[in-house]
Amino acid sequence: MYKILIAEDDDMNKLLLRDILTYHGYSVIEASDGEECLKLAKSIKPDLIFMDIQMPKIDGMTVLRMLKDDSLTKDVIIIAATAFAMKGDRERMLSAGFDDYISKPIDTKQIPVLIRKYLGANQE
Amino acid sequence: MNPKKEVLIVEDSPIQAEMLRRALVREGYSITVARNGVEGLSVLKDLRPTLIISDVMMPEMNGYEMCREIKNNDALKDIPVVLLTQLYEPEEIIRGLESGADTHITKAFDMDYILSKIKTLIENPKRFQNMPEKKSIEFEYEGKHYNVHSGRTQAISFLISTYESAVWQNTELQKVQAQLSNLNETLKEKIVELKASEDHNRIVLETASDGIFTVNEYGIIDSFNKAAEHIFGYSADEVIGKNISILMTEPYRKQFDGSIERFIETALQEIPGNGREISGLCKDGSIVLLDIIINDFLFGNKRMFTGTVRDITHRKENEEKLRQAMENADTANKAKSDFLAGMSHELRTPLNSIIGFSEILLEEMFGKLNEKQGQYVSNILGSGNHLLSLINDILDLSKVESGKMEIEPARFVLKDILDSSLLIVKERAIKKNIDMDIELEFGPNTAIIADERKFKQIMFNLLSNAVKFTPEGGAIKVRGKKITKGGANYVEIMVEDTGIGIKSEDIPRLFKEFSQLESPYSKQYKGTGLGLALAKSLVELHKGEVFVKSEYGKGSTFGFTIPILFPDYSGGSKGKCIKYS
Repeated sequence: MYKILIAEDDDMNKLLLRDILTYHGYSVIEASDGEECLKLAKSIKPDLIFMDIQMPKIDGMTVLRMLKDDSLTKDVIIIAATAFAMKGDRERMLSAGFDDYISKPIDTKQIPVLIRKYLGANQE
Repeated sequence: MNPKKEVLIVEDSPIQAEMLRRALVREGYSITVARNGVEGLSVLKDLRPTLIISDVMMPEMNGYEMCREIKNNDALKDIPVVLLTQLYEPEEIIRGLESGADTHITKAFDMDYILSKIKTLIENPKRFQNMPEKKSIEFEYEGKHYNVHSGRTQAISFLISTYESAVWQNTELQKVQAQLSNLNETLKEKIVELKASEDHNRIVLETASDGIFTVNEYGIIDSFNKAAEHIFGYSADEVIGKNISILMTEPYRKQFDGSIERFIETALQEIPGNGREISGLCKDGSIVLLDIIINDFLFGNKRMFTGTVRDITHRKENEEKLRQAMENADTANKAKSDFLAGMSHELRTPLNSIIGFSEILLEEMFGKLNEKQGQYVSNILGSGNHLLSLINDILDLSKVESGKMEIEPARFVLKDILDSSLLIVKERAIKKNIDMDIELEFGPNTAIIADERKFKQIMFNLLSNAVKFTPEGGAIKVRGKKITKGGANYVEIMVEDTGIGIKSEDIPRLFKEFSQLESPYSKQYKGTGLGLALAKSLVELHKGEVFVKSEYGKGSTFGFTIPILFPDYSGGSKGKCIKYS
């Protein structure tokens, strides 16, 4: 079972993603700020992270850079899930090093498709 | 043909001698030239010329002495002697008589006259046959004693030639006088013309709106026109004769010292220059901002400078105001962009939950919903999506306003896009029992090059308005055709409805953002009023136009034209971005 870390400070949005991921059979770990995300990412080593950008303590861009710079976590797939959805935001995120980008409001049906794109079929 | 007649020329000036020689040779005479009296007498030892022409003033022996020698020599005395001279003084005439010369010709005569005179002398030698005179004529003139030996014929001939010369000179004088008088007339005319031109120039100078002054090479003001007086507050009398530096402020005054000398020495364009902005000092001590042009010119052999100044204080103030206003506008615009970006982020976060949870409930991820529950969740989702589209409209509009909206031109088939636009509002139309129809005057495969997504947005906005404002049981018709305007091809799309219509006085406000028409509409019909403003902006980004026709209470037609080929589209790659600002 793939482990997916959600880094998101908005409880409701965190809950939404968790429900979707759990429904599709993934193991979900949650972080409510950048610092917690960094800690959990290193200790649990998830297969994929959905990361908000605007977060307390450490913002998503900084967390991304720290994880990609760390040999322990550099191969983790990190997808930006953000309400920064103006023109150019997508390009900005991808060039910062995110593996992919989804804008809020998220397309709930796209979430499992996106995960399969990077991880393949879920393992039982 | 007569044997060649010999003429002896005695002349010390080689140029005069040569001129005379050539003229006489051309007439067929044989010429001998001697350079003075001594040489002339020596030549006469062997030569018996028909005529002797002699200059008077010559070195060694002058013409009078030589002539006297000839006339005292029995072998030579019958040869006529012509003195080439100008006899102005009575004393000279008497000396000529004394020398026994037969005639004299003034040197001022032209060559033709000299030649005709010489010919007469040569062809009529008898006229000059000298009758021996036993008694010489003695007389006194101005206290001097003279003794003339010439024969009477000779003396008369000589005096006649003197008279001729005087008459000729008189005629010449009259001619010259006439010429002078002519010149004088011309001069008078020129002076009148000059005066008129001067008046004209002065008027031009005095009515010029630019200050114009001239300065000499020492920097002293030489002239100062009315506009200059007005700019600096000095009268011309107050500044003429003063150094130009009294009109200067520091640092120009300091820089000016010696700069004219440097300019004249080095010819470097240090002073003269075009369109420089400097400050000037007025009489009352105030400072005026000036645009100055300085040119140098030569007046006679003196170098002068003209300065043309224009008061740009107002222009500068306005420029500064404009700059300030633009800065303020930029700041405001930046603030607006920041605000919109922030707002977008803040609104999307709760919308994520509204739309996301509605979607997973409708997907029945967590169990079946009953009909009512399904209906309500669907309503929440619909409203959430509507809210999202409003946010997108606001952002789009602000992007158009700030010039950040980009067009991605690509080829697409018109009918396909029109059909799919109708499909989006179809559900809503069906609910209101509105009949929808499409009528195209071009083929089903007609394609255009434009931004497909934006075209859809335009259609969606017009169609949603039509559905919104058309009452139950009404009808909406989409018409399309090709038109030509100013040599370019356009498509014209019209959306006709049988809605409430618009009062003609309200039409101008229709396409303004946030200006949905006043009550009763605003109470009855929801919306931000952004739709038409956005549609208009998007059409105009395509270099097209929107229009509206409406009859209050009967219905409206909203339409737009856009070029079939997007301007500047170079073809090729789909998704090419063209940014308009």
